[in-house]
Amino acid sequence: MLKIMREMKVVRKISQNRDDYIIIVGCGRLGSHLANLLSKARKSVVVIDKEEKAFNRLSEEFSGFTIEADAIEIDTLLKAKIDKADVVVTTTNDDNTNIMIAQIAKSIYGVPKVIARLFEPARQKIYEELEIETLCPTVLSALEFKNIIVGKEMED
Amino acid sequence: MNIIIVGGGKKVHFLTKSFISKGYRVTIVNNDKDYCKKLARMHDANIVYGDGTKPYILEDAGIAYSHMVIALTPKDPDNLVICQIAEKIYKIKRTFAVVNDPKNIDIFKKLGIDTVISTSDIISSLIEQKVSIDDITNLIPIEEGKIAIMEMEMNIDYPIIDKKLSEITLPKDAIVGCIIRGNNTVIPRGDTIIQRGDRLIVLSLAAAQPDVLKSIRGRVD
Amino acid sequence: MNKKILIVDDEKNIRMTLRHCLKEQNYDIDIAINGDEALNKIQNQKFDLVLLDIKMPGLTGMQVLEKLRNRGNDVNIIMMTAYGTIEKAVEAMKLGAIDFISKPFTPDEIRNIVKDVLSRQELKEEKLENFKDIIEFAKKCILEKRYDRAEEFLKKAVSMDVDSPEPHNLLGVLSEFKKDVSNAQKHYRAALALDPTYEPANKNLERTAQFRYTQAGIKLDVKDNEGDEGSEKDKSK
Repeated sequence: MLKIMREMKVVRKISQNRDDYIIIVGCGRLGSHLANLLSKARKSVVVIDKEEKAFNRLSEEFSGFTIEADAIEIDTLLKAKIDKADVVVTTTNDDNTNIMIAQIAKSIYGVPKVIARLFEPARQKIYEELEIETLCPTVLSALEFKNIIVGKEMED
Repeated sequence: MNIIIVGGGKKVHFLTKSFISKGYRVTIVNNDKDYCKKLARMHDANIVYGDGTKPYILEDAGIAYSHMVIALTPKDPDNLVICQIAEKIYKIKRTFAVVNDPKNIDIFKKLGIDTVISTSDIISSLIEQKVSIDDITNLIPIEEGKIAIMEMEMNIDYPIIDKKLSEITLPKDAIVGCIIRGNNTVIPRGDTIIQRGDRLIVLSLAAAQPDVLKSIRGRVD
Repeated sequence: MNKKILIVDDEKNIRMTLRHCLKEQNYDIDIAINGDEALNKIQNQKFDLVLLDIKMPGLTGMQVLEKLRNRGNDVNIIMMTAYGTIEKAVEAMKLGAIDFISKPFTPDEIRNIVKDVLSRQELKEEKLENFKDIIEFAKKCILEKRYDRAEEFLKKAVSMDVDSPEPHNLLGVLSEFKKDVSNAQKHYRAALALDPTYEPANKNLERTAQFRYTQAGIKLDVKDNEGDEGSEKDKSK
């Protein structure tokens, strides 16, 4: 009976399309900036980082939770209550760590929305195979530069 | 058979030696330039310098015509990604990932990696076996410890000595795979008589091990 | 009339998060940044509920709880624990706090527990409609120190929902009250057998394992156990 209840929970989450409880893995420049923005937008945010001092990057008005631990360890993700998360964003410096945590969130814990930051565009294919949404700052920035230089009319 | 090993360190070194001696073709992918040079000197294998978690590096290593990929880096996420790239993009059927954190065994399996090996688990279980039972060697943990292969030397006080195999009651989840007698290998049949000094190779489900020990030695420990 | 809630936590972001989460529910929210301020405010105003952080500099949450109960104040309290700590569940319950929430918590989690605790007051024995009501009523009995009644209702709860670990966990706590640790552990194990991920039972089992260890007279140097609440508990005994 318990198993059925858990499955129901996942279905319910998807249909409600909520984004209230967001876990951000990695409090670097990107992670902390995102955390600040989301916190301002009244979302409940949990930031995980291996180093306590990374949390200094969070703004004064940050109203969320911080956990100093290694997100690769499943215990950390459980403490962050990943099973209740609506969104998980992985923004560590290591693409492979991001992929692994993103998969754990998506395939094992059924988190409805999972986004991973990707540095190396060459790895994009594997993320697509695994159906994980990615954000590649390298590609996005290049696109922006291109638009400034030659304008948007040219095909990518 | 063409094998790609991604990683470094002693494990890769000895594995490579072993594979090459069996006639396999080995390509090693490693991210340390100096170590790559060293590997090239030591082994008759292809060495590719680069990050094995990038698809184009694996392509350089000839993944397109490889039969097996072994991910042996010190970082579990890297090993995960290597195996997934191999399976999903290059359709490699046999991939092995080594995990350093035993807790990741379960996670890797849930994420679709078939064969996951935790070296610390294997080592600690081998040590445990060695410490508790002297004349029995647990050879190979297969299927994460569900199947056990044991080599047992027949001591004079074992109750099964001088009996026919058909007369011995072994648990139903165990068989005597073969008997090493001096320099010969005997494939046992019902009328094979167990002799003192024989080395029996016994396969059993791990759960049946205590019963197997009891049947053969007359005691468990 | 709006319910009055006091948030007691030394961390600003926690106070802000709680304010956020509870905003739309028509509660009057006040804050205190440490134990002393909390005690003062509770002395001077009537609150319907206090959200109390356990780990604070100065007076800890447990100390605040103890002082309140010693003064005869029986305001509803939800203890907030940080992740990685072993709840002093039994001690807190003896002091009259039975509700815990661990950080981090989702907005839903905090809203639900606040709602449950506030509506518990209204529960009447004749009008218990479902499993949840019975559990809440049992908790009410525990807070009122009517342990035998609580046990009665918890057993009823078990028969109503055989799959839920919660009543077993609470029965374990009651056993501990009666100093029957081995029975308590049986109950915690029963809870875990039903749901191996049920944290409260897990923590309680862990904690009682420690407790027995010290009971056997083996000296645990308190200095070795930094932040280990099990051995602190031993000290207080």
